[in-house]
Amino acid sequence: MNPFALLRATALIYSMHFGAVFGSKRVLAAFVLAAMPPVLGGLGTRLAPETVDGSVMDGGGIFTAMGVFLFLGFVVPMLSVSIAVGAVADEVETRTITYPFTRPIPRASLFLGRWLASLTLILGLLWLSGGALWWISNWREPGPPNELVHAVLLAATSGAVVYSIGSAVIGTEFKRGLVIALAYAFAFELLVANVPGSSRELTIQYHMRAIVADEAIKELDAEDFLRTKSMISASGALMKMWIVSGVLLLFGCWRVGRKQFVLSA
Amino acid sequence: MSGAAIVQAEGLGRWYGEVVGLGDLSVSIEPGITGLVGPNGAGKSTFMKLMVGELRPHRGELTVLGHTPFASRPLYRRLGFCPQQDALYESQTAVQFVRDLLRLGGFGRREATTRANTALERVGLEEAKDRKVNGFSKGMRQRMRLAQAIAHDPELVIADEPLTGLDPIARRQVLELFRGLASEGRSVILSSHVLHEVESLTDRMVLIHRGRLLAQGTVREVRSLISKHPSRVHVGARDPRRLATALLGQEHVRAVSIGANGKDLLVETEDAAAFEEAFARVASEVRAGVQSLHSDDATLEAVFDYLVG
Amino acid sequence: MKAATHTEIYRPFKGRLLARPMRALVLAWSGVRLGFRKKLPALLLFAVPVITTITVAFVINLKFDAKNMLDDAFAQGITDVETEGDPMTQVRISAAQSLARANSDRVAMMVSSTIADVEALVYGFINQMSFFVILVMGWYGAGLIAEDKRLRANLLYFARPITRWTYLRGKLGTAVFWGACVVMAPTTILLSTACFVSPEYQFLKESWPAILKFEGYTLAYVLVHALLVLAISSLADRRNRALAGVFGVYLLTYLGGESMTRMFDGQGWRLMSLPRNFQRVAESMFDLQSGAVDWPLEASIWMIGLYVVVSLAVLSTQLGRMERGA
Repeated sequence: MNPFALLRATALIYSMHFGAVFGSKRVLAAFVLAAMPPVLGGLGTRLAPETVDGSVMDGGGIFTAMGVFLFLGFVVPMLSVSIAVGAVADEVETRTITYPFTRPIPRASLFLGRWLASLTLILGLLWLSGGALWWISNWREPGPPNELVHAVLLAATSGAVVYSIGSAVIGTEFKRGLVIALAYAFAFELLVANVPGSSRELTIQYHMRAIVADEAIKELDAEDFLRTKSMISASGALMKMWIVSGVLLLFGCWRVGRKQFVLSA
Repeated sequence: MSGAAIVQAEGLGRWYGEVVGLGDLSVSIEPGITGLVGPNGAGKSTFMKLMVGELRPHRGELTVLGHTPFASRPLYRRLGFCPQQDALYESQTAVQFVRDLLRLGGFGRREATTRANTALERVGLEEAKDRKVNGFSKGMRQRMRLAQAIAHDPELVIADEPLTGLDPIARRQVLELFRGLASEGRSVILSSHVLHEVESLTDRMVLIHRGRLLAQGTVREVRSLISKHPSRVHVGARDPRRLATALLGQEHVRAVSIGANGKDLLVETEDAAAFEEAFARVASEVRAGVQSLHSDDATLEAVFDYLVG
Repeated sequence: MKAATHTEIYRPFKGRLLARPMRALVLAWSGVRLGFRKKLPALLLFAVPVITTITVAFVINLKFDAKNMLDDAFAQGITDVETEGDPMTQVRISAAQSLARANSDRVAMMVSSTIADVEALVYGFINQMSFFVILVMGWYGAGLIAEDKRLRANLLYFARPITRWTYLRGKLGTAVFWGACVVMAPTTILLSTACFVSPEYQFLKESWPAILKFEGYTLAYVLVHALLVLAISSLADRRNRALAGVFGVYLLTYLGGESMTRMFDGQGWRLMSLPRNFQRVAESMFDLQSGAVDWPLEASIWMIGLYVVVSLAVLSTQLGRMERGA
């Protein structure tokens, strides 16, 4: 495969679909979802008591409560899954996949270009949400430490990358991709990530929590949620997530190149 | 089989689970305009999807312009496909749609824009080129699909039911477009189940039924293959009874019937060529006053009725 | 040349419409039949509820079995313990003898304790099934209105003499059916098991108010969730999007409530979550206390009411649009 042809086609597909992704109706729902952590965090800064169950509810505490539980636990997987699952699946559902597939481009570029367009939206919304939460948390002194903010944003970015590629692959493979991806993210992961033992290493949530655990535990008593005992290091978690992303990306490209999509008239 | 064939299929088969899309199709299609004809569910669309590499055959061999179609980038430079499904990138304007697909085909932005405009002009959408396609009528959307198929000047255009949903004027325009492409030396393979539409464009047919090749060639050639069915000729005459008596004397005439108006004859003959030879002589001998003569057997509808029925 | 065309002639209806009060039922049943078409999702979704139901029914049976033995031992006043037979039976009989001899009041207490145990088991079962109710109703209910919108089937429905409320009752019937299959039917099976295996139908005689409460609670649970699922479905134009919306609303309210609970010294934020409110109602109905939903019962009833009102308002608006052909 000519890498330049792949890059060119990916860039073209990306530019073709970037506007379509941003212009779609689901962006509105995604925006509302992304707004939840800063909105609820804002309520917290105004109304929360000084201490809760022994934890000081300062800016760091509020940022941790919202950033770790709601942002990483729900907003990151939900946004990533719901947007990225349609990367290729939307083309199949609207039956427009015939057009790029009858053009002299590497088929993998469709997966790459459309996934990248989805990822741009996902990360844009997540960074906006995380940034707003950080800003709002600073309303209550002292604000969250930079290390914590960086860790949460890094975990969100890495998590979004893995969730989105996984969802895009699931959407490519299965007719009801969204259902399967949601079931994975919120049934399998919620169950397995909270089970003590090494089985939780099968989940993306565990790795995201591993990236933030050290910093988060300083701010809020969240041991019951994070279960930091025998947790892998942040760098180890990050490494594993990027490796998994790479493997999933290659698999997705390979599958789109080989897969036949039976479209109805 | 001809060496100049643009499409060569040998024992081609494709299934959808337990449903047979294409059973065992062996066919060779030569350059020019070819109509792929068959009733709904015959396997036309499956064959087209195999030709453009949207699907892979489960059995058999298929080459299009010398390439195995599935994901063949060299083939896609030479091929234009107009799909049947009414699907477009709804948020784009007409010119954006065609231009972006041209750019995927390797054209630079400027050339792609020029070509997109030309293609839209050819399908009669030049005035709507800056409108979003989601506001287009069914006929306009059909023409959009054609525009993207022809914009890169492909050697072969494959069009799946391209005349569906078009009004008579648009249909005439599209038929003219296909004729124009053929006159430029390009090949067109189009499918339809509306036989007279295809017939008005070309007399070269590939007839598919239940996933198999039923017949191939010109309508007359196909017709001549059918020996078990007599050819039917309608004759209008001043004295039809005398003419009927004389014609019944011919060995190749199987039956003659007089129409309800008492003036028209329907002659059934086993040998159309012999009938053509003998008719003029017989008609002048009996001075029947022949007013009209035509055979509806050469129409595709009749051929199809014979073959499928 | 004679031309002929197919002409469809529409005439105003001049007859008398037959009143068909069960029209909604026809709609509901057609939705249910559609759901039965695919076997694999049904197998996956119902596997856990079915297995759990069988297991719990078995446990209920065992509980009353042990209690029956105690009763028998007490009634017959057995003095000689058989030396042969199942060692567990011997132990039970021996225990029964000791208990019977020691104090007959204690046996009576054990009877009521067994009934209380069974009630707790049934409640535990319902609690565990609450997740599956959402899962199953999401799966089968998310597309009920969304797919009609996508396929423009509303034009066909409302070309018939049905109102939006008939349509809603039909769709609600389908959603409730699937929810009932997960929680109401199994609860009924468990309660029936308890009635039949309890000596002289003691469970029925002594716990009939609890039986009614269980049935009423599960019905309310299914109905309210069905309304919410249908409201979300009416806002989407794709089944998958509606399903994502259902999951989104549940998870957002649940996790949002949990996150806020960590920031605030109190559990009030958990009121956001519909299942949490039902938990509060259930704890009040069955005299239980988990410590996770310590707020006044009225607050939960108001919240559930709010969910119902909002769902009905959304449905009314959306179905009104569909009725008008939008």
